[in-house]
Amino acid sequence: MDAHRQAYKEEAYELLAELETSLLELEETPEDMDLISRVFRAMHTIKGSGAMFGFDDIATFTHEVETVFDMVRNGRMTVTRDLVNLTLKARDLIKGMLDASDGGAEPVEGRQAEEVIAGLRRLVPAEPDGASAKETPVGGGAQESKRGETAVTYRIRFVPSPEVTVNGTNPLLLLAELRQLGHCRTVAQMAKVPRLEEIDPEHCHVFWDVILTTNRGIDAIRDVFIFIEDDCELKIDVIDDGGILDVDADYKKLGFILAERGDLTRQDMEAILAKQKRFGELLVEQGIVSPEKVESALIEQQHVKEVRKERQVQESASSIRVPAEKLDLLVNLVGELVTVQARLSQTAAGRADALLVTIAEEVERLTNELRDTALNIRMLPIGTTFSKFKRLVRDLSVELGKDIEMTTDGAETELDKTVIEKLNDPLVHLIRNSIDHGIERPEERAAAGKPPQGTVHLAAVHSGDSVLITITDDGKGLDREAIRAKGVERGLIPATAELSDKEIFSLIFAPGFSTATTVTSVSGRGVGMDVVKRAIDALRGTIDIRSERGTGTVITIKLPLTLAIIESLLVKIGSDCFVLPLSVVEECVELTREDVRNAHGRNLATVRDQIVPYIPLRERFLIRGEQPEIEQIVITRVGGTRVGFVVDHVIGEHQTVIKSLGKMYRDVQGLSGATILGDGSVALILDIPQLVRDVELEQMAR
Amino acid sequence: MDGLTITREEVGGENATLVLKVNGELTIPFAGEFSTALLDAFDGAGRVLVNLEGVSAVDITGLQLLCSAHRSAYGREKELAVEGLTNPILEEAACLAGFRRHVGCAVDVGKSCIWIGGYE
Repeated sequence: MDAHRQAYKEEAYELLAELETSLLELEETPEDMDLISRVFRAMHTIKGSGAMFGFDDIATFTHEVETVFDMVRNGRMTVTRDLVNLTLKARDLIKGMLDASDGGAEPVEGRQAEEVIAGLRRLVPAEPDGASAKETPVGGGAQESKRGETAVTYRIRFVPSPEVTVNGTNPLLLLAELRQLGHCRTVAQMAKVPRLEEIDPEHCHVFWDVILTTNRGIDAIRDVFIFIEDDCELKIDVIDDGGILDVDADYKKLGFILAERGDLTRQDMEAILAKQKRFGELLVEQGIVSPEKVESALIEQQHVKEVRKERQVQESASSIRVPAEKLDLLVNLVGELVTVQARLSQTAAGRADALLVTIAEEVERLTNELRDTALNIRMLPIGTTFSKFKRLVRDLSVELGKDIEMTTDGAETELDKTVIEKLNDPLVHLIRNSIDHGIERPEERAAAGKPPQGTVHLAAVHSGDSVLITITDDGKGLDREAIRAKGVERGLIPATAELSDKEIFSLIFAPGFSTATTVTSVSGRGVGMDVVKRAIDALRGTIDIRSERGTGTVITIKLPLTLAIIESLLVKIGSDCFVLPLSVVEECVELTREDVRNAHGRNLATVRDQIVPYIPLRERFLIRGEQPEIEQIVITRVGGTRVGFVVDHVIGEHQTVIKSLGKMYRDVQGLSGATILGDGSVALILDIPQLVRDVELEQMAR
Repeated sequence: MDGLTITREEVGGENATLVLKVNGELTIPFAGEFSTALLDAFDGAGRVLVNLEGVSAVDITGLQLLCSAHRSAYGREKELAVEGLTNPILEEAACLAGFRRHVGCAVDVGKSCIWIGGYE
């Protein structure tokens, strides 16, 4: 049962997230019936399964909210800001109840729930008949097909005897019962209805063709007719078995349907087919089949086509729920496998054994596929994170008395699950900054000739093996001069330095910088921009600011798609191997002893008439031994500037499975992890931005 | 029980239209009554207009009598028109009973079938 409870909780959290998104959208388009139904459905599911798995408090509370939304759904109430506010509060309470359900958090006070319910009840318009609290089953039963069971489509020909009505049966009630079983189309056949002169008005002269898609089985259909079994002709055929046998979305041709039903003989059908005109028209023209029967058959054709099309959509959307740890384990194992495979390839290459080489190649191919697939599984659309921010923006702008709209783009962009999780805090911080310091109050905006409503735009887009996330606001922008002055005051830059906008803006990422100036302060939120920067660095991403005074700020975060495996450049110093992320590497050039002499002790190289500073890693890492005659500079781009790293040899590109260094080495600066090479030895992964920063700080200290 | 009341009203002079205003239940207990009223109407007028706005209940007998009347009208070369099919009671019943359709029946040569359109 615990597993079920867990599954319910996971589902409920997802539904709550969806609920939040829907509610916020609903606030903008209160008339959208689709959204109202979505809110209702989410509530209904949370309530229904909550009761099933023993979350009684949630079920009881949600029921109250659902009741209100049922009224909205039925048009007896309209969506107001108050309603959205209260429902959002209710959502938070449900989440609180979920959090607390296993003793994980403080239980929600009953008083809070009562307040919300009382508030909701106040919104309900007075009903003279007191019918407001009545519960209505959702979807009329038709849509409530249980998940996981196959829906089968039946053709039912129901021919009641003429006396059936006189015997007290109402055929329409039977049809209504059928309708309860599933998606259903009914066609009455009135051909036998006599004229007034001949009719016995109390007899039933109509018979029916019903096309029904249901997962309840044929017995449920028979049960509908159980009381008039002897008083009617009933023929039930399976016309679509739920996709067990067929794969084709098309359904039978009209002629075959009519022939199957016994409304047309095969001979007639073939004779007509020979004429090559629209089959149904011809049949009617020739008077072989009545137009009603043709129509009924056409409806069957259309119904099954729709059912099959819908099923194809559903099948492609079907998914299973797997705990994230299992995926992490899988990715870890794949990582190990990639490492072992590298060893195998290396071993095979070292032996002149053709068979072994073939096997190694095969293993390599499969491993690569497996790696890509495993990494893909962890990809999630970033949209869920975006929708959380919608709430943040809404609440914060109300709090600050600003009018801010948040727009998003590229919510479907996929990123590694871990990256998304770790991205949350930096994004929250950046968005807060935009709202708090970027966007002005409505009156200030109006005075500056801007629309009173400010906009924060959050967008995600793929770019090569990275994802770009941009936060754009149309606020007042960064104050370049104030930042510069502060930088000089703090000794971060010389007073005479000629700096580009980019260099000046990057000052706000310096530790402790943010607290003092009013332009960039984050007003005691506890974290500064340096924390954001560090979090993005930890994700091996980069952050970039563009800002124009008066018009707004654009912050661009560039992130790698995944954290588990990276493309990298393998280099060697002495007998040790090191790894640089390929994404920052621009080129490799040679460095001779003569070049070093010409630079007169400064670590500068001239590459195509451009001066590039470099860091001699052998020196920095205190690696003993003699450096080779010709060394290599690996030139990287860090935060817009080119910096070289001098190594002995460049070995080549490498698929690096990242391993963490372990707790012992947690505080080591300049290394972001390690990887195991094909021969079993360990190579350290260089933290390029950190190394550059360290050297810069040392030089400034001098 | 509302019962069934049918009021007749003649409109216009020559080639007059007979309006049958139907109030109450078009259900089996009153099927005979409705049938007779329709037949009588055709005996008198060239054009019969059945107004169903006041119908409060309808079952299969009521629905099929409308079809039947339509057929009789053809047989007698008279005209039948129906008003008030948008009455929710009728709409729901016609939909449930599968009376709504795209094309009329074989008898419907003049394409005046009252059930065309409004298909679910």
